[in-house]
Amino acid sequence: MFLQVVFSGIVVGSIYALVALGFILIYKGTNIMNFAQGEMVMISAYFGLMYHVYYKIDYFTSLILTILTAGLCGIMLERIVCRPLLKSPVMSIIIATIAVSIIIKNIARLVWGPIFYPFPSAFSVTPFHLGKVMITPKDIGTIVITLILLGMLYYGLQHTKIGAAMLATASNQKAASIMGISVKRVFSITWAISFGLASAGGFLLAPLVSITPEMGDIVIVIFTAAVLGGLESLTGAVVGGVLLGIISNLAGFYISTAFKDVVSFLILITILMFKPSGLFSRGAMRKA
Amino acid sequence: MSKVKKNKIIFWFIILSLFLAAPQVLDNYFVYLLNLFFIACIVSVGLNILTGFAGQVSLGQAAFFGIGAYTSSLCMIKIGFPFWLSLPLGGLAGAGISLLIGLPSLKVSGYYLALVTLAFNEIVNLIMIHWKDMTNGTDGLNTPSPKLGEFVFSSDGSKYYVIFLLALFLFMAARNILKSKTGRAFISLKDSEVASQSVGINLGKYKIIAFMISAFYASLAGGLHAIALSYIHPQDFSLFRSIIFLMMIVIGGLGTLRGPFIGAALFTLLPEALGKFHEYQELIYAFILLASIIFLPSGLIRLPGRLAAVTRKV
Amino acid sequence: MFLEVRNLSVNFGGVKALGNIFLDVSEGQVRSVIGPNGAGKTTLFNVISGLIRPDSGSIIFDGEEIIGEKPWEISKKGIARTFQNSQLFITMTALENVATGMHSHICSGVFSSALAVPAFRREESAAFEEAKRLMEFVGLKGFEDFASSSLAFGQQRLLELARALATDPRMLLLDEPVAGMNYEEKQRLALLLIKIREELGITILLVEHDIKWVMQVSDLISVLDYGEKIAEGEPMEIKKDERVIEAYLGKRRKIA
Repeated sequence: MFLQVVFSGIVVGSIYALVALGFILIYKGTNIMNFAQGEMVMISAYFGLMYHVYYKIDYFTSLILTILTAGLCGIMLERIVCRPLLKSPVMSIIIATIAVSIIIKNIARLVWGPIFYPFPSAFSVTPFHLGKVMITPKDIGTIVITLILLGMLYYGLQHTKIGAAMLATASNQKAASIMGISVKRVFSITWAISFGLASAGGFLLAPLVSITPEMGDIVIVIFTAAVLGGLESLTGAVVGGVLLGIISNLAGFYISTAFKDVVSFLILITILMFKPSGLFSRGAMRKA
Repeated sequence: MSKVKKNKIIFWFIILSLFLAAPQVLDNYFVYLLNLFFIACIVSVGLNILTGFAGQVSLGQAAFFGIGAYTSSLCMIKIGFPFWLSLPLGGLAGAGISLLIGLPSLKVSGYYLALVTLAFNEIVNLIMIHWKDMTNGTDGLNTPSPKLGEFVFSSDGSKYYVIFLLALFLFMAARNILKSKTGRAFISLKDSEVASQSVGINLGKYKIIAFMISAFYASLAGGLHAIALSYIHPQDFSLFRSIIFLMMIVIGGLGTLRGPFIGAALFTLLPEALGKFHEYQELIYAFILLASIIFLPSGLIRLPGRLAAVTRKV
Repeated sequence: MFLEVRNLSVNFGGVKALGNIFLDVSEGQVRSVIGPNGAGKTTLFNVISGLIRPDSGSIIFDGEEIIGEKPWEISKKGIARTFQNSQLFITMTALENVATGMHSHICSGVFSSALAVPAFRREESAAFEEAKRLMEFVGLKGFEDFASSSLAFGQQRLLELARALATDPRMLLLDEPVAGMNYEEKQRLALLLIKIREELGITILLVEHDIKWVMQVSDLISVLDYGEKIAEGEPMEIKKDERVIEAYLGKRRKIA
């Protein structure tokens, strides 16, 4: 049973990883903590719903369309929210992204209503056994798609010009712009990719949970995953996501479902208090 | 006494009399609204001290609002304490629990602190929902009215006087604190921690004091909220409520003395003004918030000044 | 010795900021620390005022070890400082900035402030009186109610000085006090420092780039380069010192 819980934790954790990665991308790249990440997941699930269920487009094309739509939203949001607030104090940015999250949530509520929408997956749910663990093709599909997307992202960052520009801007904005990199363009792309990742997460999450406007509440898990991995590390976010998927599943199974949520919060507070640089960092911050 | 000062005193005397006379002349519904307004003011004044003056972000005020509400109500219901004892106990409970986010604030700030306070708010909220033995969970809790001897404060009007007088006292206390060495210490936390330390200000001590004061205010307000509505429910104390509190001081004007009142007015009166557009309430709030952050970051209170500056250019 | 710095070393992730620094300042002295950019001067100040913990060494102020103490405790012991880039409290007026400096000398706590008891009111008005007097002392009379950020740069430096004086210090650490000032302002500050030393008996330790000005005001000068002390002595000696000239003109600097 333990392994089963761990396995489903890995499945859901890989989704967390995708979304957390998107979150860190924005934080590292533009120094903004996007409190609306959860809502992006949610609204993407609705996009997916429209494409796949309403317009009856096939699963994989819908996935791609959802990612593209989300990417566009990311660019729009970057223009509307991120740009004017670049030089603002942290507080303004927190408030602005929270406001955006509320707006998105309410748009979802008003357009689609509070009903639960089920979302079919392209993969069958007939399980097969691997040792003591019951695995469905849906689970495998989720993990594989996640890995593909992660792979694409890593490849893009390491081997393309745009990726290099993004990495450069993330480590030193001024230097990057002096070198001729359009920082604004990089920001737009960063937000687009981040939302793309969140949307893939939403798309993959939808069959697991059913779509409601409240889906965005998983954002706290995303924060925790991001913090677990250390807010500065991309790989950390991925590992953090999977870890958190496993831990919260275990907590939900062995303690209680209510505790599943609480455990994320507790981990978040504990890490922020004692090791804000994340589980995997090497240095502590130097202060008197 | 100078003429200016004399006029000021007369002005405030008139305002005070108007407020005191309000329940006698206004409809019950408006008195109820004023109750909600003053309660909101208490929270926003407290939060303004923490965030507007001392510069510490907190998304956890709703939790204290709730802690005060539940503590005060449960003291009355389960232990049988009178309101006049339960309310301050609620306030003290909030202040004490505020150490749970005050202490982290010594180590983290900015985004990290926002996350900690967010997580804190959610945990407290979850406790309210799941600790059914104490809080009745999602069924909500009916709260009793205050009693003084034989007299029961059951009408909106009678509650108004309790709320208004306590609010008045808390506003004056806040103003006094802000104009004292403590207030200056708070501002120094926000303006320059480095310089603050160099003039002998113990950063940790004052951060914790700021958290405790704002939590105390929010908790007291929560206890008043419980009697104003006679019913409390965990949903009143959710993260969204914390955000509304933050919205109040941001839109009203962070770090100003009058900003919190403007913000509180906006957020207690707006739902009523919306009437049948109630569904869109959150959406409208969020748009106002976003717009004001982008275009009017210094708050509504500076709007007249900003407009004047703009028109002067034209 | 009023201030004894012994064997002080500070490393930032492998880069040596200060290495084995020795410094002795006697009471009532005006001591300057000079050196090219990056020599470690501000780091030295940051260690003395408690903002940075050194990797090794000790600092004894009036007989007490101050390494490991928090900055606010060091301030209470009598060391005040100003900063290279103005660290004024920009939300406050000029007068309020100085009044904040009196923090440690006001006793009223939160409760007496909240209730505005008479003792509190008395302390506050006394503090503001003193703040006003200090502003006049440094030459900022009339600017009390100005927003501190609206003052000219030279005035801001004077305001920081007034705020530092408000803490009633026995030693002042001045980090580049004349940076951004014109000739007249620099002269006035030189006179002010002498006044502070004579009338208030405060020891002054300062870091500065303007060598000529430093020569004017200092009793003794210490020269840092690459985190090490390379020379120390009276202004006349330092002026002629070979190593100092080299350090500034860069003969010893290797091309990377």
